[in-house]
Amino acid sequence: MSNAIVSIRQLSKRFGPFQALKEINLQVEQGDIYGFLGQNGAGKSTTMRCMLSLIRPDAGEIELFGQSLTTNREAILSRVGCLIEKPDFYKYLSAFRNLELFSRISGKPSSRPEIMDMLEFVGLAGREKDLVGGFSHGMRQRLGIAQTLLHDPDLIVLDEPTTGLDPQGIIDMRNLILRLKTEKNKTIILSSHNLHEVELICNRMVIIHKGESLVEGRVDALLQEEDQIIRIQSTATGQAQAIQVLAAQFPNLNYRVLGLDSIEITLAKDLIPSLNAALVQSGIPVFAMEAKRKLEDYFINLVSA
Amino acid sequence: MKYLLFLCLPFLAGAQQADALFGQLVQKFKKVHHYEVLAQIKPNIPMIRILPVRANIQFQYPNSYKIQSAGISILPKNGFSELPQLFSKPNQFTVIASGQETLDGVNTSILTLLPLDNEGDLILAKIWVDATSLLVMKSLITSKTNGSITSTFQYAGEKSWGLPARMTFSMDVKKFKIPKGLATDINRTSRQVDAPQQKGRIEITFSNYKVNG
Amino acid sequence: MIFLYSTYNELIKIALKPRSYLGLAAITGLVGIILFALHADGMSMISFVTASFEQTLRFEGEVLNGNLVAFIILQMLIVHIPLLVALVTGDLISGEAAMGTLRMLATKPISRRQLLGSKFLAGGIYTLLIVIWLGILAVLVGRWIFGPGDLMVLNSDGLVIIQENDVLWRYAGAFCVAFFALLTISNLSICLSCFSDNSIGPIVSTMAIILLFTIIGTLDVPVFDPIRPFLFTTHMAAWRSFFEDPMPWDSIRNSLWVMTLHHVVFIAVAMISFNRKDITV
Repeated sequence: MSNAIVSIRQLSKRFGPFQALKEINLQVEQGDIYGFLGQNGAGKSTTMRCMLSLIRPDAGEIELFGQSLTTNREAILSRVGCLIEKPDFYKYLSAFRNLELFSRISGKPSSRPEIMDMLEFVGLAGREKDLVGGFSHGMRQRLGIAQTLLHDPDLIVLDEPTTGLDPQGIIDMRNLILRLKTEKNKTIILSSHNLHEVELICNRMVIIHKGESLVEGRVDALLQEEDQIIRIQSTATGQAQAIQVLAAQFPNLNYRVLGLDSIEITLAKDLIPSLNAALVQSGIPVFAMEAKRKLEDYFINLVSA
Repeated sequence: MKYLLFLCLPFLAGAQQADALFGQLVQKFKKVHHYEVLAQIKPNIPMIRILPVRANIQFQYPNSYKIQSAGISILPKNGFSELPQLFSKPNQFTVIASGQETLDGVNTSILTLLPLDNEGDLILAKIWVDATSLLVMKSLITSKTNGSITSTFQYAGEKSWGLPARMTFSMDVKKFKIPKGLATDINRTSRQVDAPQQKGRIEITFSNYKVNG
Repeated sequence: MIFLYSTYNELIKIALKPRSYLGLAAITGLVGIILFALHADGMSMISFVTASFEQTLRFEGEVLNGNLVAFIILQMLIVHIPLLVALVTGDLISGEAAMGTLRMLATKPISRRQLLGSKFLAGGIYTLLIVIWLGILAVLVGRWIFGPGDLMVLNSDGLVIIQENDVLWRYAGAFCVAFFALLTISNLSICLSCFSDNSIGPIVSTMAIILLFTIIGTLDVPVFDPIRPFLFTTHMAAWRSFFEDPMPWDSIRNSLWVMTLHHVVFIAVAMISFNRKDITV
């Protein structure tokens, strides 16, 4: 029996002459942190909007919690918390009042203490009476998260949750998402064009490009298919020595010289320890050895293809 | 000269009779120092829709009227208070006998009152007097500003005081105009307006007189 | 239940939005000015109306009373109130779209029909409050300052004088019909609001439609005769019929039917369009 929380099949949407989505397929399992990866305008937000019934698809099927969105919209949405694009609130109302309003129609109205607790949870304690019009983007984003979580949804949909946040805000958001997964076993779908973010947080992902889903699956499994790229920084002499030693140890070595002191080597993941040992045994000074971010290359290869 | 005097004699005699009659009317009028009466005012005037209104009328000699009504009541501009005014200043008019006429079976003498002073608003007043009972049966007041208003009088219990039980005024309403732009509503579809009748009537029925009480 | 919650939400939003008080403040200010002007120089205004009658007749009693003042206020302001209503109701959907909150609302477990229905209901309640406020200021304050009395109304076919004890129920009826007419404006502007993602568009469009229909209604051109009876603006002044004698019940009934038809059309169009609307902002 499938454990799918979200199942999208053959989803298509056209805005006038523009084909926004073309036969998108994806499946999100219980407990996933699922990443929608794609360039701006790729179709991530449109897919999410279709999932939340903001947009009516032209074709395809969307099922959440094993029920059709078309026929069970209200029941499904009562189990979903979402933050689509930027968090927009009534600027002339206070943070508390905003949460109260949205909670009232979320299917499970929250009490005053629950709202206050949630404001504290997102770091807005003491700001409940302040008008949202005076909030910074980061504060609104946190209020948006509070609004998303207030009715304790089973599925959380976050569209570009870190956009516009400062570095600390990004880290806080990332930690919050991981906590929701680990502590509360929530299923989370997030979209991003930030590859690093997806690589760090998500266990499964789909790459959407020009309205089409290019690949979908576990992040580690997808990246496993690819060779690793290792960047080694040494000295000018060390660079030449390293090429010599490694070429001897690894036939058909695929390498690239970078500047005067570095090389970039592409090889299978299981050969990396041998590479490390060979360099140490040869006494080559190694100042840094790092795996180049794989998803970045994976994504660029996929998209440019 | 004698011939001329002879020719004028009937007129002089008539004038004397008219003066005497008018004097008697004035004397009768003077007996009423004050009175209070309930009035039912029932206008029937083209272009005006109003239900009959009850009013309390208080009169104080010589010509002071106080009308109190719960709401808006409509009275003729002339004719209601003009007669007492005429009676209160008998020396300011020339009284001319203008013949006889039978009104509702009652023989009346017609007196024309011409103001001596041309400055006032009144041009002419004509009254039809039942000489036997000294009652004004009809009046016609013509003024510079308000045209002519005819009033007829009917009497009952307060005959002895010369106070009517009913007065009926009729007046010309040709001049009534509705100011454009004030009455018509935006988008109001036009309604058929009946052809305006030429005369308006106001009937006042008096009851519960309290005379000199 | 969620429909009631949503309606409550909408009312709170209206109540806490500064714009909502513009209408009430404008009505208060305008009524205040009219009351002051009538108090200072009301008789000359009345004399202007009754001048031709007063050549022959004289009016006894307080012609300038609270009931007449209320009528004058109603007559003067009813033309402007559609703008004040549209200012709030025209913003109910498009304002949310412009703010981005429509997106938030539409992801909640409330059907679009219920969401829109709650906005129609809230818009109607706001309109009712405007009418009640106008009624309080016009009738109650008017009577408090000028006192009660018979109402003298100048209709196109002459003067009608309605007795004091016959006036209040007429006002009640007139305000009900005026509310029903303004509800048409509210529903029209909410309907237009479904087609726009900015706040000003539906308000301007509503006023443009009222202006256009009013011009068609008042132009004495036979080509417009067939459509004139079906324009809602033709029936906006139906409240005035309550001050005619005899009262034209048929005309009032007809106006209510035409306006009801407009309500149904505006709500139906809005429901269909909002249900199909892709919320992309």
